[in-house]
Amino acid sequence: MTRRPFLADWLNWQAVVAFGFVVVTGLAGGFAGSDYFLQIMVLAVIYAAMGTAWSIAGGLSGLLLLGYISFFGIGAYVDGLLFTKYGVNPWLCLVIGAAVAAALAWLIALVTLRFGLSEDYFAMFTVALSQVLKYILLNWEFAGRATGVYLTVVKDDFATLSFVDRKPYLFIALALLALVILVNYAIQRSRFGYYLAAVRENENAAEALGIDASRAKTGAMVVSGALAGMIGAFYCQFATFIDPKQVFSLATNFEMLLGPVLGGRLSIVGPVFGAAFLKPLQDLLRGWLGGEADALYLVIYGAVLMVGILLLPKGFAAYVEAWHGRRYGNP
Amino acid sequence: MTAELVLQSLLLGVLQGGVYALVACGLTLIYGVMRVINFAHAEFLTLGMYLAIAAWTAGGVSPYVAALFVFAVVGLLGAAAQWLVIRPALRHPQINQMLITIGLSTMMIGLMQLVWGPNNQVLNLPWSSATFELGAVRLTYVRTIAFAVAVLIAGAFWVFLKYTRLGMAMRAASQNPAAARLMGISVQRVNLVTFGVGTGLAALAGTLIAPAFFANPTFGTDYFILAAFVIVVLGTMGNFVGALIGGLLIGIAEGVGGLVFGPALRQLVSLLVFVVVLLFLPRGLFGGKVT
Repeated sequence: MTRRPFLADWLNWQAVVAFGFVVVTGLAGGFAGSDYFLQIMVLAVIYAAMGTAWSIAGGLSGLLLLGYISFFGIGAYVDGLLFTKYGVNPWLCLVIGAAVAAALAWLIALVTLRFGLSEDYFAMFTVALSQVLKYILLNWEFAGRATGVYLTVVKDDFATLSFVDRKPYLFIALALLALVILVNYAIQRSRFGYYLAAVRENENAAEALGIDASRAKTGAMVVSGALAGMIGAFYCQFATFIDPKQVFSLATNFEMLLGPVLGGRLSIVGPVFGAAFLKPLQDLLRGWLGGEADALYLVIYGAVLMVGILLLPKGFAAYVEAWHGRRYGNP
Repeated sequence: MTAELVLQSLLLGVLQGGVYALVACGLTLIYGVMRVINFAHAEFLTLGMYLAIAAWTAGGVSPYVAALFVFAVVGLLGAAAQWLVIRPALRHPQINQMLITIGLSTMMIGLMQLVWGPNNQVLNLPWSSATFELGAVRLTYVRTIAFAVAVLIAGAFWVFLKYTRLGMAMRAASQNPAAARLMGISVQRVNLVTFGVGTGLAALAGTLIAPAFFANPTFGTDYFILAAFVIVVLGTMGNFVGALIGGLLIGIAEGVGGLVFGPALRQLVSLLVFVVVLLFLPRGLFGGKVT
């Protein structure tokens, strides 16, 4: 039996292409001049990382994780508060942010999965919870209420993850994206990944084979949550300013899910390229048409969202996968 | 805290609850029939408010007269939206359907801002702030009328669901779409009517509260959508009577909660109810025991 080429495997191919994206973006960022474009690039990479992390729970495990921003916001606040109030090193905050978000994800899974609740309840619960967190932080004196948290950055300092220059943020964001891609890849390669696929395709059959569906879903939630917490903590360092309406915004939440849904929830290239394409497009459109709340922008964005999802119900990656299958003669 | 104050918040909560009920019963009906959570539902309420304001400022038409017209117009718009973007997605994954209704909501907010601008608009009836006393409690006429009409319409709609052929078809489609189709019911038509009527009722609620609130493009999203979701879950998703009772309960909970925790945390009350319901009554008040 001859060994099949490494790239003939769809998952390997995706990993190579996704890492290729990370390297190319890093090189492009190294030469990029203006702060405006660097800002757009960093945000696109953050969205790509969020989308790829979301697709572990929202795609691989099939959970209707509609309110994903809670974990991001919690991570951002963990970093903002620990760094400004207690001087905790931001690199450590990335880990603590991930841990706190993971704990929240575990709690949500514990509460919602124990009765095998319908997916719709789960979706609405996660959305409502993100708003509960927003209201709590809006009324919490210690966390600065509606004004939020400011970080002051005076000089480039790798040790405290603060830079005046925008470039280092891009490289760190890309490193985070690479980590998320790696985790997603490793899960799909592992026994855990096969459990998730079995539960997603047919929960009853999976349980009949001895797979603990709740445990598999909880695991997916914890991993997705932890990664989002880490990205949120990084976002706080990057933005140097967070407030509840920003880091728990439902609009942002849905924007982050758009990449994986239009790109393909079950793939790696889908969320990565979905966000890499959509987020800059959106930022440029917004810059061209006017501010955040510009009416024309909202109309066009809403229309594109609906038409895009109707035209690509399985995401763009489905077409790439079909092409890949033909290219390498996969069955 | 005096007894009058408690009674006042309680009654205001009931009045608000009636309007909530009317908004939520359309949402729950759409979910029951199509299994679609309509994230754009509150935008139809906002649209109803704007149309009522437009009718008043342009032609001096009272919102209570305009209500029927608004119901019909918005209902048709809702049905059109269902046909164009919801119907083609009914066989797609749920996350897609949800994001489509979110796209619809975004687009409607943008369109309303394009037409009416981002600033607050008011419908100032000559007697907008007129009040009457009920024992020790002072209530405005507009809020009382809104409550009474909302309850009346919700009740009428319940009769419609219970006794008319179309209503029975809607209930059949919500209980078992496949069986309903076998009985010769056009489920596609039922879907269309349900979405139209559901969104029309939200708009009707909007006209009723128009004299009591400010309208701006995100009014519905800011003040109604989360409460409506909580109500629908509390009253068991898809259960019409559950939504009516849930609406009143959440109205009261928010009224009294606002008094106890302060108005800033008013919305937190209904969200906490959500969490508690999920913990202890995961299928809502009318969903039966979880086995």
